[in-house]
Amino acid sequence: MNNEFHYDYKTVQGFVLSAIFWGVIGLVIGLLISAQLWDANLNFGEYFSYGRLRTLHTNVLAYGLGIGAEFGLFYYIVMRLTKRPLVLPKLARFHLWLFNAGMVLATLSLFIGMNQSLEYAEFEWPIDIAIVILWVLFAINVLGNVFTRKEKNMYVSLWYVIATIITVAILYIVNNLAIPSTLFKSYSVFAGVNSANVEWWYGHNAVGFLFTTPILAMFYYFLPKSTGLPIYSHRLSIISFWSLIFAYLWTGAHHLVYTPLPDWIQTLGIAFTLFLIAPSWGSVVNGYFTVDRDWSKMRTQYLTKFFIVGITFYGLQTIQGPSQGIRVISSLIHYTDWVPGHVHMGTMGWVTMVICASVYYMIPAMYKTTIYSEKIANTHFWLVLVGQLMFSITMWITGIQQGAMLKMTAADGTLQYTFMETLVRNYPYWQMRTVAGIIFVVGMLFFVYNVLMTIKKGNDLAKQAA
Amino acid sequence: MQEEFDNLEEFSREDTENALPLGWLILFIGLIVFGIYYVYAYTPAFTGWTQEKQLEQSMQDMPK
Repeated sequence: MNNEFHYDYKTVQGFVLSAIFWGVIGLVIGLLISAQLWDANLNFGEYFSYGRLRTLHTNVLAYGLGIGAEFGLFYYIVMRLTKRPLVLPKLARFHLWLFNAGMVLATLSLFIGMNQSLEYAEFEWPIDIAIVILWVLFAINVLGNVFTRKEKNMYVSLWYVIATIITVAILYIVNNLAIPSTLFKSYSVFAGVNSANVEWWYGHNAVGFLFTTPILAMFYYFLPKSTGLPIYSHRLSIISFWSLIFAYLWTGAHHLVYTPLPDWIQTLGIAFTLFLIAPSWGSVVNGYFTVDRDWSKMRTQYLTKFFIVGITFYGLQTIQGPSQGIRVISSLIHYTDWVPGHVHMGTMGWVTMVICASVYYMIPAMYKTTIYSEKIANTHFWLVLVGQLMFSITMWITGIQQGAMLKMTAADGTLQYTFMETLVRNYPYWQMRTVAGIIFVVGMLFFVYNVLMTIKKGNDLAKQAA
Repeated sequence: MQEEFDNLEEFSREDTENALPLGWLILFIGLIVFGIYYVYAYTPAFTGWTQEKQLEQSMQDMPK
């Protein structure tokens, strides 16, 4: 039942290469800012100061590496699950160029200090408009394919892709509503506690719909493809999907526990946050039971361990996260280095783990060849795992230490420690974290090398065949 | 170039028609029930709990 047609893989590969490019920049900046925290001499003038670079680190990795890879992998998944080429391949190619041009402008704008002072929504209004256009182009292609699909069944990955597209659009537009005063400056339409509430509704769901749903789309597609084991239960995957989507958007208020935000909004946010454990673990259980049919795949198929370790950290992350929402735990660890530890366990242990594994599967599949070196992929796996664990564990320890120090009172009821004293105690852990970061980045460089060599191998094969 | 299809038929074989795992279902329903209780207990309009009262209480409980 094969038809004569081919998929547009050049655009897909372009996004993967772009994501790698922005990823390396973001990771190197990450290493620098981790060192700046324990040695202020590493701040070089205003452009290379922590304040500028921290924003660059989060944005370049979230939008450059994360979204860049998601655009590419989504186009690939969508074409294959809808069983048709992209409806508008030229538009997708334009989307690729616009993405990179936009990333250059966005990066420069943060570098020179343009910032609307909303975390993870720092870009000023002209760039916001460019991002919305970019997103619409992406939506047209993906939804166009879904509406004209040649396969009636909608596999769960497609649902996650659609949810990502719709939700990110709503979140991004609402939180960035602003009145421009000049070309480079605007004022948010929200103020005070409303601004905080909208910002964290956005901030939390940005994590949900950039680092959770897209990665689950990849997980559900590439785990069965690379292991040859069909997903354990479609019913469970769909119920997990709809309950995740239903609950996620209510949870942002857990970032604002014990603040002027009305008590009832905080409470509602916490209740939905705790509920999220169930849909998250639905996917975890589904992943484990899928591989449970044949655990020898962990040894025989090198990608299996990426997915299983990735989903394990997703599982840990989705217990840790909701726990942090509970008032008593939030009051201990909020405003400490526990929080960056939590974020990085997700991004380093789950997001990049699954993105890398998906790319490892997809690039050779596009060229109908095999990966350049499984050995290098395994080295990459162990380095990023060790780096991530070291990062997470040091931040757990120092986060709890800092939280306890901030709460400690002397006999007369005054605070035992100043804020500065709690920071000084962070130093050895921050230094260990830089070492952890170096290990992780070296691991990622092995990944980059392996992907580039696989593309070279594929191109050589194509030349031979021609 | 010829493209093979992604065999969704293969993806949805009969052995994927598994029921929801019981343990997971208990977790799912348990968290809904707990969520309802939690919203009731910590919403000022229902029980009078407020974070201000909690703060006052914790100040009183401090060793003098």
